[in-house]
Amino acid sequence: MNADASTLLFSSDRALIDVILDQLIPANPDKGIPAAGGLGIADYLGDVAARDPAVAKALETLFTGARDWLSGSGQSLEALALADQTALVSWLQQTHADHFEVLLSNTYMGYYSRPDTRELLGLSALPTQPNGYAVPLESREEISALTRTVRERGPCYRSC
Amino acid sequence: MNEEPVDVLIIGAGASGAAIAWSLTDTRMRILCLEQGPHLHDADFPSRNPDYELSRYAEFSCDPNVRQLPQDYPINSAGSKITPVNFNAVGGSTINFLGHWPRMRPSDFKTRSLDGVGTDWPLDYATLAPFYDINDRNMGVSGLGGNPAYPHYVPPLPPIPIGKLGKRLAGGFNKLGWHWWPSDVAILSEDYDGRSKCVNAGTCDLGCAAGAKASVSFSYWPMLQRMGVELKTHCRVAEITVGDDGMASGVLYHDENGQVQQQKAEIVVVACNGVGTPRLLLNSTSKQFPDGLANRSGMVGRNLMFHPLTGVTGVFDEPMEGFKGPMACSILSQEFYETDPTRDFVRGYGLHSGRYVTPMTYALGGYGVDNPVPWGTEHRHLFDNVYPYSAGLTVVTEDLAHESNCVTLDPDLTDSDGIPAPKIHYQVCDNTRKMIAHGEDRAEEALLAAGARQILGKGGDVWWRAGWHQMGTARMGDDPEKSVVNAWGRSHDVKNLFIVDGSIFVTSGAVNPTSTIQALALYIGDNIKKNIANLFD
Ligand SMILES: Cc1cc2nc3c(=O)[nH]c(=O)nc-3n(C[C@H](O)[C@H](O)[C@H](O)COP(=O)(O)OP(=O)(O)OC[C@H]3O[C@@H](n4cnc5c(N)ncnc54)[C@H](O)[C@@H]3O)c2cc1C
Ligand code: SF4
Repeated sequence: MNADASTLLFSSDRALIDVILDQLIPANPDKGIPAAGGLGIADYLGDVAARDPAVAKALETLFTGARDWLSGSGQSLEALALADQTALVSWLQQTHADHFEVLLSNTYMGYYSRPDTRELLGLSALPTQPNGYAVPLESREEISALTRTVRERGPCYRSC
Repeated sequence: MNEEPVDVLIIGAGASGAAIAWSLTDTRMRILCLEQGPHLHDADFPSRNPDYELSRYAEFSCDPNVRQLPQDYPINSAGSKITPVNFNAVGGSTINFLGHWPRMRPSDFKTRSLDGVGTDWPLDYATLAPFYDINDRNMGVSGLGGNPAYPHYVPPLPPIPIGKLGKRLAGGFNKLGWHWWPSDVAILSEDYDGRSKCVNAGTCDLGCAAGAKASVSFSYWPMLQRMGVELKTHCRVAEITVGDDGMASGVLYHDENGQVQQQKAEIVVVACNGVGTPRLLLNSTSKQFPDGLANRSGMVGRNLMFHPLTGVTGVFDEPMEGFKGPMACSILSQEFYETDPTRDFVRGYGLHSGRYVTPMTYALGGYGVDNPVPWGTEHRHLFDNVYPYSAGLTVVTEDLAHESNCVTLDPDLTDSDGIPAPKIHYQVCDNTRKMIAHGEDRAEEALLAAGARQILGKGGDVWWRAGWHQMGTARMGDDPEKSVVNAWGRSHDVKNLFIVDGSIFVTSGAVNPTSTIQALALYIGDNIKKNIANLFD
């Protein structure tokens, strides 16, 4: 699939793709954590697919399969219950295991590499350097107390 | 183009190449180092980019088969249990290494005499001890002196924080009465030698743009360049040449433009890591050495040792903040390091408490593992209730040498210059499997003692992308029939050829090898200087 075809797929099937992505990484509304589809990870997948024909092929196969599954179910996407959405994704995983793994790992990469997602998980949104994280250095007394039992046992190597 | 001959030609600008270059600088010999990779600068490191984690699975992967950069060589490890990983640039694999810095222990050099297994080294811990000390100063090593698992030594810098996670696990080890100690690290706890101290960024494998981690590109190379050591990057050595006298005469290498060049030298030093070195020797065939250079013993490429490892995770009742602080280095237990006749295996292992991975790597299965975590509600559960509360112990086992575990040349695969690539044949032995099973049980015990409410990850296979430590493929020894180099790194067969990387290890120990690799390189440099008058006798 070329870049244009990939863009077309991602725009025409966007709602279906978002449903699948929301299943892969569901939201946690209590913590304000969005699901993958809601966060727009389809855009990331579209970019990867445009660069990598193997990813494009895997996604195209999966989304074509999803469309077929949907029409076979006789339901509209809007009417699809949550349990049916899960059934659809499970079916994709079972019938297209290799392609599904490509989708899954790329979804995880797109989602968790984002600064905003990192921040929601308690990490810094900033690159790790130059700021890093503040970690208090244990005092000499604290380390000395912690290692006391180990030191008291004495040398534990074989001298030779 | 024929370059003027140099006195010493070092192949590889990584940990061992840099250390021996430093040792030889006071000889005033002309020293040239050829390195196949580039010289990276701090701006090249991904930890300064907002989506830094993506590079772990692309151009900064530790796996050359994933990176596929022009300076990399592919490695065929299909059918092998572990795949070797590395980095090819000035700094070598210390660019993405994790800086964990334990020394080998005295018994590691005497496993045959003590435990009836493996082969004794032709040197001992006491011989290397002064070189460990010198190297610790050159690298900038932090740690707590007085570790009862070793003869006394004190690292030059105070320890880095062991952090919340380290303290929690230390409490578990203390409850059980087991050994543990804050890890020695080649990471700065204080500003040192023009480098800034660690800021606990936690992405040491993506290169430390702060220079706090002692990639030799930040520790040794600035010194070496001030001292006049010449360094040529993007130069990949295809072959070490020999003269009619059977001595190494120099090398043929591909320059940046792929052109073949010749460099003559009086002394050739190979420092290409435990897979790159046998590959180069096996590629260097001639009338005198039809089976590869320095290979009359047939031992080049054989006895490949990694440190097979696996991890056990404990889930705690409070966030462990594992992403804060150097990735691999918090505390290390060597309670099960030595042979115990009541167990069903010989030698032993360490329990390493790394910190924890960043979210994307966790989602993809962890560092060194390709096994994405489940999707759906289970995914949500893992990220809400498991990931933040996790702390792990890695079981790092001593690998016994087996001739069948080896590096050969792949008949078809080549690098971008058309040079045959290495093929890995590596299986995990029964002794290791028993050690892993024992270690997983002990890790579980320690995690539970530390207060873990749930244990995950037991019974997994050894990690695949974890051939971080490559040893044994050009082993040292006194017997030229059974070893490749002598007790000070000189080839038995080619008197002006030295090997200084982990290839020359005789046993693997159960600790990360680089402090020992560099101590050995300094020791070999010292012996070259001592024997300079009759070096080739
Ligand atoms: C992800 C990762 C984590 C690690 N963590 C730790 C750790 O915490 N502690 C520890 O002790 N060790 C660790 N290691 C291992 C450590 O990096 C190595 O032991 C060490 O760098 C080996 O030193 P070396 O000089 O043998 O090889 P390297 O440092 O790899 O250097 C070899 C150099 O030779 C060059 N080279 C190879 N072939 C040729 C050729 N034909 N022509 C020209 N140049 C060539 C390569 O490009 C490379 O730069 C880790 C390694 C990795 C990959
Ligand atoms: S944790 Fe420290 S050593 Fe590691 S990358 Fe960050 S600053 Fe460098």
